[in-house]
Amino acid sequence: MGLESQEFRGLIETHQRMVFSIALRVTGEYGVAEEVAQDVFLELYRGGDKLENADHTKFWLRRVTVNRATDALRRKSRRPEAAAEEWTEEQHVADAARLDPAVEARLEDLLRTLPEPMRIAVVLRHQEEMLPDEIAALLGQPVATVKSHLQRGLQLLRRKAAVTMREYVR
Amino acid sequence: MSEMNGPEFDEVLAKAMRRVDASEGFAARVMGRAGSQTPISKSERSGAPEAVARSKGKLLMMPRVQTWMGGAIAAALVMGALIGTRVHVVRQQEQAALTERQFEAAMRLTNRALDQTQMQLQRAGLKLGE
Repeated sequence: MGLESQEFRGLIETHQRMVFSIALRVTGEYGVAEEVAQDVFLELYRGGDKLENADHTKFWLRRVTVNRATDALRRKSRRPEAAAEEWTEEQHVADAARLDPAVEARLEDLLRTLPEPMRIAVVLRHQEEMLPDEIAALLGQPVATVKSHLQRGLQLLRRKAAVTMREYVR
Repeated sequence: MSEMNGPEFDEVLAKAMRRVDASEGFAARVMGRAGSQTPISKSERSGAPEAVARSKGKLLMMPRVQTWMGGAIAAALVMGALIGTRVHVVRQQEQAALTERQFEAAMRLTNRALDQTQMQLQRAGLKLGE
């Protein structure tokens, strides 16, 4: 058998925020992210017993989520900005240490305008707090490529923020 | 925001990009879907004895089925090749007929044009070939 039910439920509860958040920020759509996250966990259920330890499980979940989310994004072949309102209305973020919701929403909007490889690199770096070499290992890319995506992604975000978020400057 | 320097922007970005929860009941929905699926067992993936035994059961039935299937596949391939050749020949014939028709039409037009030119030259008092 694959995973036992209790063990599987435990893994969902431990990792659902990580999986769902990556899926959401890569696809930019709440419904698609839910679907991707469910599929990722079902894949884990079917073959999870081959995962050796917690770190391996986390690595596997992140990689499969990025791949599935990218596939979903390409299948839809639409720009993820479409569901901006849906996202900001439905997200469930803990209130502690929150930014101004308008700034947060605007940054999420800007993130969705980044090209796919840059967006993935920025999400893994800033949401998952992964180092460039960890991201490179996860994505199977050279570290230099990941660093370049990160640098260019952040540069684009800063530039766009400077132009479109003037109203938030104090 | 326009005055924001690198580290400050990174900090704001990191705050904006905290993980978010899936909607209520996510785990239950996944468990529900998982309940209707059979996990792939380790032995099936690794080719362990029980999986091999099941495969062997199928293998015992293979020779007769294979002979029949082989014949059917060969016949289908031959039929396919024949049909393909016939279609190719018919298309070539059609293409040749079309080309011939186009050539005849072009010749008619050319002859008519030449006749008209000749008549105009005759009217002007000139004769071709002189």
